[in-house]
Amino acid sequence: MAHRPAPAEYSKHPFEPYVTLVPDGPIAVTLAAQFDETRRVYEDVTEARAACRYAPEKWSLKQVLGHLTDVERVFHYRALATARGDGAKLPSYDPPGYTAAADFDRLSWRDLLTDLTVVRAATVQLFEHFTPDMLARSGVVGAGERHFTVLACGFIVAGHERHHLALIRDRYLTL
Amino acid sequence: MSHRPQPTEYAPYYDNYIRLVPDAPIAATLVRQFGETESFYRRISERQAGERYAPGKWTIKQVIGHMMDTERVFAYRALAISRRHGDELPSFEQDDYVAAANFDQRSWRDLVDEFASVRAASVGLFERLPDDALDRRGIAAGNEITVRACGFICAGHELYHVVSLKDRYRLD
Repeated sequence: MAHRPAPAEYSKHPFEPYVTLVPDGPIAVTLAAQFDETRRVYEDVTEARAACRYAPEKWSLKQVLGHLTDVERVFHYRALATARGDGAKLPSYDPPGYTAAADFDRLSWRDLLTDLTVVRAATVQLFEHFTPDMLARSGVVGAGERHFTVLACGFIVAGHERHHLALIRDRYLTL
Repeated sequence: MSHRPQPTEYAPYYDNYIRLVPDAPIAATLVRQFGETESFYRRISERQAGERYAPGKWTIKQVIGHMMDTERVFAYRALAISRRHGDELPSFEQDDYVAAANFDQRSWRDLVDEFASVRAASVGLFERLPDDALDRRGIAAGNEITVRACGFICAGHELYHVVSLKDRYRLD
């Protein structure tokens, strides 16, 4: 069984930087193990720190965490639809638009972390039960702007989480 | 004030589900209802779960798998519309989804455990929406729908199938 997607399995832009951050291995296991590490870092963040932006026009930490959860919900759906053979014309995703409409800053950091935790549990269970055939199915966003296999969706979720964890460590937790 | 969606918030077909749902905040309904339906699911045996009530019909495992697929799709629609997503959202071919899945190869217990996680994620979404987000409208499967209606369909669709399981599969 393939433990990582081949480059042809996803659009180089914007997904390659995420996929390359993820180690080889069964993706459901990676998603569960990696989140244990992420959660340990996030649990130490105070509410005061979570409201901070590292620059005025950047998202707050709360908005970043809410964004991670939105991305996971979007790719959770994309993986499901694609695995069921329904990935031919998937809707787009607009990160700034979603984050603005969600108003994450009114929620507590703790509450946002709880939400990502329950979404991750559902994502892990979804990926645990995909067969190799399902993982190999392809999905396309819109008229072909982006494409990915089901396996690549899992790697994108995991890599996107690692990408933001590194940014948060560098830019927010050093403030 | 009513918590229920108005008939203008969804296509008439969905009334089959929405009318089954009590007039209460939808996140609380989704939690409370699963407290009841989960204990019903847990009383179903592995052997019963592989049965069909008639040839050509879904097994009980396929029914719960279909309930999860539906909830994931409607939670996604609720997410996208609550975030003011402008794209028309695609339709959902339930029979194709079940045929493409492998629910019969899985254990009943495992399916029920997964449904509990899917429900927790739906509750997480509906609990944290901004105040006015339930009223937001989008287009899914060619019809206008609100975020509120998506939540009521999640709850009502589950109730609809639980009633049908109890009746047709003679479970209680």
